[in-house]
Amino acid sequence: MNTYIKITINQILIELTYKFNFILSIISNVIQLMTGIFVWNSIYASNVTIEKYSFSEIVIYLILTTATGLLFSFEPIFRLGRMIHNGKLNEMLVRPVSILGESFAYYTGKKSIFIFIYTMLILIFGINAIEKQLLQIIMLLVVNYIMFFMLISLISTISFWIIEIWPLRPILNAFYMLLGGIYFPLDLLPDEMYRIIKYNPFSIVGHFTTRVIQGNYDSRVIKTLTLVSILYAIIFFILYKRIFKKGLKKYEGGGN
Amino acid sequence: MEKKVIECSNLNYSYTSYEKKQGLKGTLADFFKREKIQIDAIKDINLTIYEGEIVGLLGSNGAGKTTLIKLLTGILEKKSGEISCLGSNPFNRRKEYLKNIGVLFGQKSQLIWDLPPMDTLYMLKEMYNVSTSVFEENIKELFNILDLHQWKDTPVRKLSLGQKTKFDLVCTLFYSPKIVFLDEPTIGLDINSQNQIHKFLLEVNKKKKTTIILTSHYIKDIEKLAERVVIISKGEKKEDCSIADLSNKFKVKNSYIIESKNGELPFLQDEEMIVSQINDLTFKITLFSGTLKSINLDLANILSIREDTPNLEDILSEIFLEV
Repeated sequence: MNTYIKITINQILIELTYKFNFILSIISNVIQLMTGIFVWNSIYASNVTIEKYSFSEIVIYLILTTATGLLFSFEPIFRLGRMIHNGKLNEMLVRPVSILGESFAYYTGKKSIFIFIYTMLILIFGINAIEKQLLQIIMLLVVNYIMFFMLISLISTISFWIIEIWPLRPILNAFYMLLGGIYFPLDLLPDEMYRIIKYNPFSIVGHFTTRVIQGNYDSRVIKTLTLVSILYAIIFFILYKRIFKKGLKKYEGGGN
Repeated sequence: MEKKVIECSNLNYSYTSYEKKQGLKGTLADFFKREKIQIDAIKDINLTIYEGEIVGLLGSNGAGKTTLIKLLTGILEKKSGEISCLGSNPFNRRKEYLKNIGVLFGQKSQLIWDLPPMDTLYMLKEMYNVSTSVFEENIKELFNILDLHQWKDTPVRKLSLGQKTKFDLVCTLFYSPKIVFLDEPTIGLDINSQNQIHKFLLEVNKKKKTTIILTSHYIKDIEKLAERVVIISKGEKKEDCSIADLSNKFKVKNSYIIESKNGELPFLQDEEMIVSQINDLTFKITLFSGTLKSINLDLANILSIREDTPNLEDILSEIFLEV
């Protein structure tokens, strides 16, 4: 356990070293947020009635989903790809450490500042919900974090078969933005469509968790979301283990 | 009874590569269908290494040395044959095995680029479960030998290649692994540092019976460290013997090198020999029969006489050229 804590701490130190990168990622997400608010402001100014959401609720929703975008990103997918491509994976393979564990510790270290920001935003905008359902919300957030990590780790195993996977980035971003409700609340979609996509992993992490923090769901719904998230995490973990093992057999240790 | 630490029998490894056709037409054709080619990187290798040995793994570029190391360290899975390192199959990546090996890939640093070397070392300390007292003692000793104290808090990206290589060596050795795989360990190091590392590795090998498998294109590394050499060529083991035995095998029979003081042959040449002058003072004598008859030897003019035994570099050149 100490190994993984040290890996996390090292990554935090690295993130703090490169202040410009951190500030730039905040700025780019703020720009995205402002764009979203501008668009919705225009929609509301044109006298369109959106029954489920007031303008202030939409703004809070966008702030929280933007923060979600900072925290839940696809970086580990491309990290494994880089390590396979340049042979750095060899270094991991000869060490007595779990590759998945190392990746999780690295990811957590890399996201530690955003975890702090996300927590602050939850405390600011979700104080009502937290007062009523603190433990359930914490449980949901932790499970979501693990589930999302397992999802992107599973996707990352494709790197053993596809040399250059950077073309996947815009595709994954598009899926996440749309299916996660980052651009707009998913329950604004037609009922039929919403029913089909509502429990996808991106939606649980983005749309649903945001609505939970906004206090729109009761304990029963939070429990359901947590269970679905746990189920996803287990499935992704099992698939990851199997595919990673197959991938290692294909791996040629290139780069050295 | 000497303990076997590495045992390979009929070890084979191959991988699939693709032939790339030339030009735009070829590239477009490849887009739809590529020609597969099977590359046999390791063919039927039998190898046993005992505890405490220092083995030089030699071969020309692409011979299969690094592939063999990757099989022994568990990075690659064998296609057929048997492989056992410290009693386990390396590809199973059992923690008990991985904690007892150290691997240094000379051209790939394992240090964290953005942080000082000590941060990597502290992380590895936890990984290999080294107690604080042992860690501090070993690090102090290694830093003293390799003269690294003043650089330990400098971010790795600011270090020179030689300094990084030395720190990589520290990372590989501080937890006293039973087997150490060193792939080009002295690359980029100055002559003093090379000597320091040679001395240190010999000491570690003597004190802790650490088994060392070493690949290097610097002949000096092999001559100073290795008791035994294994020569790989096109995936096959060509030679496996001590350096002395290798020299004897390639020794030119009935051939002698004579150094004279005045640049003249110190005896009379006859039809029983061929004489060639190597430089101003040195002659190479090849006898047809193996015995020298009356030759009016001028002893006072002789600096030295020795058998014509090629040096390791020449032997290896000959072996690599043969294939």
